[in-house]
Amino acid sequence: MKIPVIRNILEANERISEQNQKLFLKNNIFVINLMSGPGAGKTSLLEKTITHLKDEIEIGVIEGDIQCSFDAERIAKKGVKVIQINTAGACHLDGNMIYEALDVFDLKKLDLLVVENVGNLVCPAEFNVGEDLKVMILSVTEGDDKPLKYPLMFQKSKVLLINKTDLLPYVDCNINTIKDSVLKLNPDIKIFEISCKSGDGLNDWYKWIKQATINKQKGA
Amino acid sequence: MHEMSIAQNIVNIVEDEMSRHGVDKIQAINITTGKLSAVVPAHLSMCFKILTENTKFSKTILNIEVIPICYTCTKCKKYFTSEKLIFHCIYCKEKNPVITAGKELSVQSIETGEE
Repeated sequence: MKIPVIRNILEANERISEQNQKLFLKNNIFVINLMSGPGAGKTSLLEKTITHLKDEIEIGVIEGDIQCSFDAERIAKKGVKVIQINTAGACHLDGNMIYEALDVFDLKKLDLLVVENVGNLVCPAEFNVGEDLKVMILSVTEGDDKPLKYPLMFQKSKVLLINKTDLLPYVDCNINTIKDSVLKLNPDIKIFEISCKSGDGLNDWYKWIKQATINKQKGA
Repeated sequence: MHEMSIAQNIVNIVEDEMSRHGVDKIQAINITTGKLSAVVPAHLSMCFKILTENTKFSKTILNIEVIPICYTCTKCKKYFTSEKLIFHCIYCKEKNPVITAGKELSVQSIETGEE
């Protein structure tokens, strides 16, 4: 006997993400799911962003890593609330991990919550955590062929930051190749070219993230 | 790399369906995964096997149907499939055809092996 089922394999995670999303909406918190391969600059971008915006908006951070708490320690030094999740092997964060981590935050006070996902260019893109949108980083040292080799994350992200542009003279990476490929995969994606080291391009990003946070609070 | 959590989700869904239908043995599970779903069928089969060792699913077969990427052209409206990502209509060369299938990841049916 064949019994029809037709159920989304990730339905359990989808349900929990939707619950998270409702909770964030109720508290007017703008939530981004920050993703990239290991070492692209997620934590560096956060350090810079927090330094620039922490007097204007209340920021919270959830750090996901397979092991250790180096990233959370770096973020805590910037004076914002942060919690480290160790996935102990799992390659991504999921909705339930985020839900359980929310206890440490005073959600009523929070304006922006950043979920820094496990460094991995593939799996995190499959699992929603309740975010408003996915933001990803690709650094120029990773190579301009990555968008077409790992298309899923580029397709699911609303924003791409191309980081380490200060290293362009030293690497064989054509930034236009990155942009052309990404726009083929995702014509509506917003792209920022930045260097967390030199600070180039970061002002536009700060403006964008601040405005997006304000828009969420206004219900826009 | 996330095939293990996918295998666990499959087991959860199937157990739920079995209790709903009052079934205690399953011969086969049929799932579909789209080419764009970032699931490696061989890895998923291996994870399912490891996860279900010494359980009631140890003899259950996991059938994985891979769905190709399906496109519809926004200009000539023609429908076509591809094994890999493409960015132009194969007929009229119009840019960015709409992806209509290939992102699936679902349990389609279960088979009890009985009439």
